[in-house]
Amino acid sequence: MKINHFSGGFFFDSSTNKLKELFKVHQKDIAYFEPQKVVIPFDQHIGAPNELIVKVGDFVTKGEIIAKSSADISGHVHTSITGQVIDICDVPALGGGKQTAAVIQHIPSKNHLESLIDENLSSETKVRAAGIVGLGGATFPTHVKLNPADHIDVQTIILNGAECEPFIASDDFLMQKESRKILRGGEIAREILAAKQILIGIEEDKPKAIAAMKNAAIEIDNCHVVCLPVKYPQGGEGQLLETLLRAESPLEGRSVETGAFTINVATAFAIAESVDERKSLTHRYVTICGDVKTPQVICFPLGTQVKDLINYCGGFVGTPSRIIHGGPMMGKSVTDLSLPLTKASNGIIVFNEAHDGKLPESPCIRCNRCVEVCPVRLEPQNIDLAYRSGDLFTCDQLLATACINCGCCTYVCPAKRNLAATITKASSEIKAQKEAQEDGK
Amino acid sequence: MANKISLQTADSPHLFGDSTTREIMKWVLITLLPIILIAGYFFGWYVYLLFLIAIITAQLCEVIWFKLLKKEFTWDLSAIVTAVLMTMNLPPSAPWYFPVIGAVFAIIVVKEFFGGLGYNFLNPALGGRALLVGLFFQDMFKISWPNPPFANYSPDVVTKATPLAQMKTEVLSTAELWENFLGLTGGRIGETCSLLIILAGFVLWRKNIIQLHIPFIILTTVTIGAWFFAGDGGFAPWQTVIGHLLGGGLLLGAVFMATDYASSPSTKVGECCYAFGIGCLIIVFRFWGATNEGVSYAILTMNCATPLIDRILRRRVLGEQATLPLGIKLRR
Repeated sequence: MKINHFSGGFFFDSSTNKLKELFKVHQKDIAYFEPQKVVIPFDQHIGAPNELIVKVGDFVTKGEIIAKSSADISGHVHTSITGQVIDICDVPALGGGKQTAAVIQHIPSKNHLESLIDENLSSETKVRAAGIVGLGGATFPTHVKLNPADHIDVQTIILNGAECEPFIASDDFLMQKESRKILRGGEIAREILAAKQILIGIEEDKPKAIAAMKNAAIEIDNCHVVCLPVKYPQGGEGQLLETLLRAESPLEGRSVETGAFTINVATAFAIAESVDERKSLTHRYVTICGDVKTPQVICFPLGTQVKDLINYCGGFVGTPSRIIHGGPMMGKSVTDLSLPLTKASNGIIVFNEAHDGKLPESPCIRCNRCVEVCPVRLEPQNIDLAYRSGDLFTCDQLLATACINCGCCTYVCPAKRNLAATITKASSEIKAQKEAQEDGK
Repeated sequence: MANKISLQTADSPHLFGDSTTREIMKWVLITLLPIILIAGYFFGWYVYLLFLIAIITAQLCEVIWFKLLKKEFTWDLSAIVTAVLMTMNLPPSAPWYFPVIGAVFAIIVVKEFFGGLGYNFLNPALGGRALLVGLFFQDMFKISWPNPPFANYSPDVVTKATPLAQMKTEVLSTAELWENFLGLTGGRIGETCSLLIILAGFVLWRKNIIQLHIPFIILTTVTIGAWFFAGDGGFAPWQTVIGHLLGGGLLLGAVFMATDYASSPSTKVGECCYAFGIGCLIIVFRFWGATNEGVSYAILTMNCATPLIDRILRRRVLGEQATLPLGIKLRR
């Protein structure tokens, strides 16, 4: 299949490629981690907040719902281990804030089997009951996405296995190990949406995953694996649509309006498990890599704390100076090691002082590199300049709100300015201002 | 596990590319070096002195300015690039105070008055030259002829016409065109050797420091313009067209000056308009201007149009409705 290159983007420089080689995960099989205690935050999705339905002292079995909301745009949260709720408290959240979570202590018990989803439900309802959200990081509830407006005719199901963030290998290993189930998830989505074809996009640097997926795709009709160039941010939803279908998702709308339904391979896997095996979303793959003793991809129960996983990997190498939740390009920094991992977690990357490469900022020389690499075709340098001089109006005119926060502009900036950060701030301030204006009316 | 570790909070991304401002400036200087060296070979040791004076003055100006403003000085080589490019625009017979005046004006007025690196709306090197032309019109248009190797200490001033003036009355021979290409012709310090400038442009392009669309559009526009207007009532002979491309600092301007980051537009479409404007203005200045040359004034004029181009043209954002071709959006 002939692919179309998306606009913007860049290839990683040699220093990053060296680091990529250094941080590579070498392992034969996936490790399964079983902690004694999990800390499960109530809200692990974008949408309406959940309400807790268990109380301290309750006994819960793996797969049981512990928090849910009746609102449509929400995702149920289940307990990922069998045990007792020992506390409900505030725990650290990503970005430095607090979130409420249930602390569950593991109690080994032979009598309690995993609680499964009701067999008689429709596929869509099973997906909702399993609490599946977009596992690529967006955490948008999948059952909402599976139910687009009536006028939208979905033709293509795209399974996103690009995994363009360096160092992370969670989807890579998942595709090697669970290729059949991933494709089964794609087929379920195809049945629900009455779509025609399934496309799986994988970056070329994952030959094992490509081989496994190709092998599995032979048995399914109208299902193709497409090799993509290793160009960042290939795994962005908009960029994948541009590459595979030459489609652009409308600026003020959903990507599904282009006639393509895009989900991450991990989400497809979760859909298959929920529909075929009636399992809720309780586990996922995470890559623990960087400066830890034994970097590896681990299947962990949701709510596992960062420190437990790092201990499981043998602890740090050197003194850590920066720990990142997610990929190094879009992930947020972790400041508290008791942070629980959630549905949005696909990687924890540890940089020690030797690998933490932030240089001081210098004046913008207007070299236009950020403009060239911006995949949504913004002018990062001009938005940055306007924001720093307090001119939100110009930021809005330059459509700062369209930023996807991929970090390309910062990466290529020779003046080492964090353009992505200022644009994100500009974008959120503009959105807040607009909301305030609408409330005022 | 050690509990007392200090973890940084930082905004994403957490990875950074290899390029730095200094690296870019370093490569510009590396590509300029052969042109500097050949200038001394052609015009005499004296031109090295001119370069040195300009570099020292420019760097001193910048250091003093940063001291006065109590800003932290960063050693980014940009002042040296400006000084070298400004000196390349001087005649080889320039007295010692030309580079001093030019460098002070370029750094202090054109660059720092507007906010320093990246904020200057004019090309500082050309700004410095423009002032010198205004102050010492006669001396700035004195022509020296190469006398390799390394001539005498200072170059002789001759009253021979430059190829650009020569072409007004006669057609250049192929041998003369070759001399122009290799730099064995009269002109300013850095503009004569077309071969080295083209090589420098190629290296900068390979290093991803400049892109070729600006030089390409300027040269194409000048080619077409020269072909139309240089002949007497008809199309000009090819020798004249080539002569226009090689003569009068066109290549130096197209490769090093027009591609200056700060004074050119932000978007590729904008840069194409800007380059086309430069090309057209060069034609206007060359055929209807007071002197035979006009590359520097063409670039300075279009530098002034850069903010306007940036204000009205922007790219169509991904997912936005298309209204104009080439992915352009007009901004109100």
